[in-house]
Amino acid sequence: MGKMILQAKNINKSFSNGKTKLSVLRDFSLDAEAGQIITIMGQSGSGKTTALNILGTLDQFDSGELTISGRQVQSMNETELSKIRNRDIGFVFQFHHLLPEFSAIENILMPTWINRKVDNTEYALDLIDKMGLTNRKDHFPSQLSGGERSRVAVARALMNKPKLVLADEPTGNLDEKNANKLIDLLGQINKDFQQAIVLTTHNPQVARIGHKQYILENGALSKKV
Amino acid sequence: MSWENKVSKRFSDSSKHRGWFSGLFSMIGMGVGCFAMIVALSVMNGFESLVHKKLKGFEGDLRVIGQVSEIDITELDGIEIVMPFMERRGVIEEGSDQRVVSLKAVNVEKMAEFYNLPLRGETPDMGEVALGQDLAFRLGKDVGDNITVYSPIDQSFGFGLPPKMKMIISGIFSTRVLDYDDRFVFLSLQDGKKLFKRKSGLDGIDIRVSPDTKVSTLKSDLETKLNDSVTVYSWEDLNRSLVDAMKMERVGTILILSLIFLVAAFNLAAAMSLISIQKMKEVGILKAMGAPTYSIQKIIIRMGLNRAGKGAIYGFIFGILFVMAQNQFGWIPIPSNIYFIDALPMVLFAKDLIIVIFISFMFILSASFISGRKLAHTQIKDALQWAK
Repeated sequence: MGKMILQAKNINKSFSNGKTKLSVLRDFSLDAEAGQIITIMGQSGSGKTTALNILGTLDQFDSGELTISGRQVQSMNETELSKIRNRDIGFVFQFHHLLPEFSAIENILMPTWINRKVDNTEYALDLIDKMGLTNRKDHFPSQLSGGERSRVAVARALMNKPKLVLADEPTGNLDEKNANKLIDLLGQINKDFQQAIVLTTHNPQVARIGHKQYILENGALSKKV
Repeated sequence: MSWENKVSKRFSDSSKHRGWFSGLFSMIGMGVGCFAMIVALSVMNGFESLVHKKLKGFEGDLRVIGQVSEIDITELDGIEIVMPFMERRGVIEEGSDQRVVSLKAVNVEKMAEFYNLPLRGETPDMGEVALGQDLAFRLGKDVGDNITVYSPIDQSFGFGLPPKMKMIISGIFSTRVLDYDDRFVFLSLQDGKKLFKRKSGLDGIDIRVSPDTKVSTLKSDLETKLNDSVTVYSWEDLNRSLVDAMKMERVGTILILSLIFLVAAFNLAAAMSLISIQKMKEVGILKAMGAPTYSIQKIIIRMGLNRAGKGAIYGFIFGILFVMAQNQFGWIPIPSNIYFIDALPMVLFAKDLIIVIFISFMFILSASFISGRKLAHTQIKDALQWAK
């Protein structure tokens, strides 16, 4: 059994517009160990993005407990959360969210810059090579295809060698060929780097790569049989 | 280069066309503010230096009042020249017309060396006086004419009348400082002793300090050396109200010219708010990658510095160049019959440059900080969902 990286226990989250209260997550509990791929499948609006935002400390929750790398996040201040996000978590967003002002290699290097680490360009070049984007490294996001942007986003998520990678519908905007390529890549990364990967999708084929597969329905998480 | 610098530079480059109008105005505003403040302060410094020079030229750097011997003072280091004097309220009588003046009896041999008086005619000898041009004008007198002077408080005991002396005007001076040209009459110490019967000793000694000596240091040395019966005044003490008024004028100028910076800062805040909205999503991405709030704040501040700071630096450089050019070529003339100089005097002090830089950058930093604060504290998920 791998080392426990992520532990979410009975997390509840609701949104309120003043009059009505909409419960998005109800008693959401999830464990992720190093080297594990966990997939969460659900329909649009089922709360997948909210769940991933909470697991990645991008959003707050109403009640429950969240532990990342053995540290409870609810007791952390903003600066500590920033450090956790930078060092322990890598994000891959559905819409890639690359910085348009920076080239592919600069986007990949950004987490290292934020961490104020020594120049790690060699590692970034290694990653970009693994993604098959060596000849596109100096191109800006607007000059890359959707598939290429996804791979840059994956490389960026891996740059600081995080223990946990959170991918929010990474294949959502890709055609089948590019989607399969990206899924293969995530599988390969999981083998090579032994990171815990939590991936949300509404595609059953993509969900199949998970060592543990869950379904999120009406805010409640259930294990796929 | 720190990563915040890299990001702010790229963000600035990519948002050049957004809010360019307010950005341009904030840049011009900061430039004009810096330029105006440097020029205004250097003109004030120029005129202040002129006034200081004239005041010191008339009174010396230090004045010792009380019974003191010239030898006690000249023993100290840093003294260039001393001028013993007697001073009384006196009256000039011209027929039925009488004018109250200050009679200052001095060592006439050293007068030309000690006083920096623009004098028409000669320094007075025994039986002669030098008076200010306004006083001479009012009396209708010129060099070579006679006047009668006396000191009303120095009455002779026998007849109850003060001794009067008929004297020749040897020279007319024009200082253009305060009311000196309308008030002062110089005469020799020997004549002073004849006129001032009540007290024949010296009233004090004016001192001119050598250029490499600090006036305040010599003042404390004199206070330590001399006994309590004498008082030492610097030229600033003697003209306290004038010195304070000039200081107040300087503060007023700085405050009023700071309003230019304030207007420029409003423009900058407007431009930065616009850019902040445009960069909301990028900020969300950076924060998701672990950029702390203070780094985002730094990025916005550097963007503000990049825009308005350029203007401030240009204004600063042009201001200094303008002052240097005026001192070199004297482009702006002033009437020499009033000021005794041909061109507008400008003097720049390092402390003024520091004040200008400090004020301009304080406004830039405040405007950038306030406009970027909301952006830096935006929730990540809200920022990521932001649609431009």
